[in-house]
Amino acid sequence: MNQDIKTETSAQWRRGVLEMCVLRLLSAAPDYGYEIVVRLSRLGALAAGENTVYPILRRLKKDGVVTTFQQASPAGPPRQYYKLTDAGMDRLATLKSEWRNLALAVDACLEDGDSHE
Amino acid sequence: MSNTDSKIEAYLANFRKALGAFAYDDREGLTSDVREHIEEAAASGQPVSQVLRALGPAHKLAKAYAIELELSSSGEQESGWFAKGARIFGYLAVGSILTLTIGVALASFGFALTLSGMALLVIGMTEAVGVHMPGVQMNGVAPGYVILAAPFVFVLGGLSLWGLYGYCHWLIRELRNLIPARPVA
Repeated sequence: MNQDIKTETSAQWRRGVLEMCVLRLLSAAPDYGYEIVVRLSRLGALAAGENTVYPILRRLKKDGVVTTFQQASPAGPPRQYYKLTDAGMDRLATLKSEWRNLALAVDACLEDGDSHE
Repeated sequence: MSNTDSKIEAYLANFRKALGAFAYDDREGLTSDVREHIEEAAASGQPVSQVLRALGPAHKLAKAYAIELELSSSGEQESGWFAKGARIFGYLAVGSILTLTIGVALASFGFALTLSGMALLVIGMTEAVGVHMPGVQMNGVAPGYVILAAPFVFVLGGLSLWGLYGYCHWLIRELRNLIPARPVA
């Protein structure tokens, strides 16, 4: 039961920051879906299932913060690459700022709680 | 089709079916995304069964897309249906006159010009070899000019028919986009 709660809570946290991390990865260079999933999985705690990353990429495209283009693959069919738009850069900057403020506040809260224990 | 291919196709068919609430273009686009992922993962050496397991059940993946794209709310579905119904009515009411005009014009030009082009070629060639077809009056026009004109007339007719095909294709796609197959489970 506790394990279920822990897993669900972690999943919710991850889900909340995943959009920002996907935008950050794409701010360096355009990338395709599978590679984004693999790069996130290398980041340990940020590893998210394909069934989370692809819907997020779709929503980002719908929101106009990323665009897509086709590029030939060394083997197999052409790949769909995702590229950040100007609106995407703005959203990333906003999310980073909000995240840093939130992280500072959460850290302060946790440290305060620790000093009372 | 190999056993692996049939597993992939079955998964994608279930996924496409579960995307019923999405417009046709979206269903095809999302299915294409998932297909690309499966092919990339398989090409990198992962067994297909493992790739499909990681994606999860097709209906859950479809639901994840629906939630992410804010299509899961039943209220929105109902208002969406009403709005779509109104749009279809509007399309039919306004589009029918346009469709009638464009369809009749392009079909008339298309068939008339392609057939005329072929007829001109046959007439020009028969006149050129000295065979006079009954009922054909050249009025002093050299058979060579008739043969030269034939391809242009034929191509004009072909372009009209191609335009008609394109218009019908667009119309069908628009109507498909307006009519979702069924709500997400």
